[in-house]
Amino acid sequence: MNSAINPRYNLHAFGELVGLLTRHRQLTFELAKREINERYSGQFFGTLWTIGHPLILIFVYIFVFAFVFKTRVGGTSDLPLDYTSYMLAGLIPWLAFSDVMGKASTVIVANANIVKQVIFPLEVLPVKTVVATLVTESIFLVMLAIYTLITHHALLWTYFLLPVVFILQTLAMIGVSYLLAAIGAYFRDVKEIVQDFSTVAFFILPILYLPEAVPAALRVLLYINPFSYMIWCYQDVLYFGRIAHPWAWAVFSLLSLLVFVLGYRVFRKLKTMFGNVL
Amino acid sequence: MNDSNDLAIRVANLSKMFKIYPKPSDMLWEAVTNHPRHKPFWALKDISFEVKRGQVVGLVGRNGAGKSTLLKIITGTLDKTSGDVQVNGRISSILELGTGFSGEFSGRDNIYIGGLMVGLSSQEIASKMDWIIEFSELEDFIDQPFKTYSTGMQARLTFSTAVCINPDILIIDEALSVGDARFQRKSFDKIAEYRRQGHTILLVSHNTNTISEFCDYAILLDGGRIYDQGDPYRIGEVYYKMLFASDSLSFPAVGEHANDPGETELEIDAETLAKAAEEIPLEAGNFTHEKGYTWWADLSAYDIEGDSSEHPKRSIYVLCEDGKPLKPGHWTHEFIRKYGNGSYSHWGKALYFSTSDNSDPRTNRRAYCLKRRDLQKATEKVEQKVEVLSPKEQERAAMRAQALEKLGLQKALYQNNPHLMRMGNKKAEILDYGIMDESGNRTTRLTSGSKYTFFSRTVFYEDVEGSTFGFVIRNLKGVDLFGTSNRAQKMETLSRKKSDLVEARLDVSMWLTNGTFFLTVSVADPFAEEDVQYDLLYDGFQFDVQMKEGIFTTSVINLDAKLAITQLN
Repeated sequence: MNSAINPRYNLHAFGELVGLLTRHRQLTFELAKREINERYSGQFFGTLWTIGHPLILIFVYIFVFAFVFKTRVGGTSDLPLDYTSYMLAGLIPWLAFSDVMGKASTVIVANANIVKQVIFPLEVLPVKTVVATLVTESIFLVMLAIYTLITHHALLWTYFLLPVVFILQTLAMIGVSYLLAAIGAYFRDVKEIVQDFSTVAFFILPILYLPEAVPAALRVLLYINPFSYMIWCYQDVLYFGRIAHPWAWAVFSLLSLLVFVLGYRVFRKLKTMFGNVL
Repeated sequence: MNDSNDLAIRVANLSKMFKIYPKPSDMLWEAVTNHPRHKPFWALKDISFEVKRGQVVGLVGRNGAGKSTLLKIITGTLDKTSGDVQVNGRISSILELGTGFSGEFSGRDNIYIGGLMVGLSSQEIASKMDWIIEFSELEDFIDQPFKTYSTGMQARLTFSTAVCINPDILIIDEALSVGDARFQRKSFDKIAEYRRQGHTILLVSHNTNTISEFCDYAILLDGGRIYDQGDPYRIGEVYYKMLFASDSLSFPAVGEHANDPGETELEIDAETLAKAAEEIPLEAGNFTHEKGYTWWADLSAYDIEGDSSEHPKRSIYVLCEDGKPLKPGHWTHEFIRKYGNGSYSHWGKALYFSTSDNSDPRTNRRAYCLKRRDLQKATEKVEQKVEVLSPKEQERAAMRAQALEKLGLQKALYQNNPHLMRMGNKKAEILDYGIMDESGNRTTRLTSGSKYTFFSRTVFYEDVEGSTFGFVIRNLKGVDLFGTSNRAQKMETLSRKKSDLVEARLDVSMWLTNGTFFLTVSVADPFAEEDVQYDLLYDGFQFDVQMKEGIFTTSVINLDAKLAITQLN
């Protein structure tokens, strides 16, 4: 356990991973491109579906919560933007994250023939799904920015912090991908567990509602869910226009870096044995 | 040492064990409880060899011998269990067609990604792109999706991409056998060029000609061990022998099962087998003691009690080593070592017997393991049982002894060859067979163009309504070259009485040319709709034919040709 948190090992692994990803960036981007294209190749709308699916989901949520339940948020100085913006600020990063988790848990098995037969940096595989997802997420973020411009006639100054939170999220996604990819190769059940976890976790995240709306006794669940901190950071940037959750930034930064390194270390340890289980 | 610099690959005492879990959940339980739940399967055991720089080394072996596992460990896509592997230089491998290539993408895109995967930069790939397209001869198709390519085209693209990175060590696993002959030629020219430039090549092939033509050195794997290594031509011959020796003909499935970590071979536990062994009725003389070893019993030639037509055979093989059950891969290895070469063997002995199962005996055989101690127990019982023969068995033994005496034999000829495959319901037994030359002497070395007599001598144990005696000649590849029987010749297929001793003679002119051939002799029921053999000795007799000079050595048959050349002007 000591070695898991020993800063020396972690720093070394961090440097190793950053070097590795820099070296293989071309391959990573090429594979990410391939993943996006491949999934929808031969279809009439093609890659438009990458946007299409989440878009439909978002409209459903907006319809249900804004029009059916008539959830009212916004208009005050505390809550500057409308409900749609509030929901999207949390939903966009969460959709990306849960998408990555689902794909990462099968990435090794799905690429079994490459893993078994090509001398090639396996570390690239989980990262390429992250990159592919980030592309979609970026498109949504741009769409949200446009929406904010239209409804609010200006962008929040906190948009300057968007790259920071985006990078932190990327680190966290890479780490979690490594973890799930490595374990998923051994226990195929991981895919199913992740799927259910994503469904459940979504509802114990402050995405559709404000934390204040949750009974105090249950509010602790939000703090236990590590993804809440990412959501709060994104909401600070995209919705609140101020650092409303400073401790969330601290926790999220720390968690992201830790997961990034530890996930990679687990992957590095287990990857030599992938050939045995595929 | 200067030596180590000359080495491209050094493998020392390499072993690879796959953990075979009966259920996937067992893997989880093992991880949680730390209590082993897997069965070990040794895909490679104690492999040692060296490949020098600039050498072309051929790797041969049957399916399941461990070739692919070895290549994967050398390339680094699979970890080793113990031992040492050193690789000096950059490796490129072609383990499978189109690996890493995506069907949806064009050939060009796939070259690009394939190049990135093996570590080239996009500039490097761009500079090699034209060469790859030209070498693969896919100019007209390179922008079509890869999935539309034929296997030959896929092979061409795979090979071209793999060689373009100019590796120090090139590993090729049979990928070349798919391309057409001309591209194969071109690929081999490329390989030859690589060799001249001092690159190292490790080549897996099933084609012994390829091995002997291109390789400087060859390694023959069997059952996860190095069976033999050395001169490619000689290894090619040993491999051929291994492939076409009759015992391997009878167990095609064993090796494949052996290499499949997902499948467990040990379906019957030792106790059950020992019990089963006690149940086997035996006749006298059907097992032999091996000096210094637990003996091995060959029960294959004998029936389970009763009419064997009710018990279509499915043989089960039991192989054992001191205290440790053996995996099936090992025992074929052992059989060949023992009976193919006649050399020393340190493995346990086999016991195999039949159970009733409606399946083809040749494809459904499997190996099972039994501890030597248990085998001994089982076989001791069996030995005791030998003393007690049923009246029917006694009668049969008497008929047999009488027939053998009349033929002047100690035992049936096929018993000299314990790994021979024998089929039939045993209403008759072919005691003697072979080939005689014109002066009546037995021979195994025939001269093309001479006359010979093939013969079989059969004792009948039961009254049968008819009998047809067959002869078939096969070549090493198992192709039927010639066959006939008295039924095929529209001759009488007479009924036979118990204890009849019948000789069938087939006079032939030997018009085959150089080569090794196998003779199958049989006696069958001429009236049965499907083949009902009383007895059949599959490829039971091996002989060589030699050609006197006068025709091309590549000729398959001798047409007894007279050549006349006349000047016409």
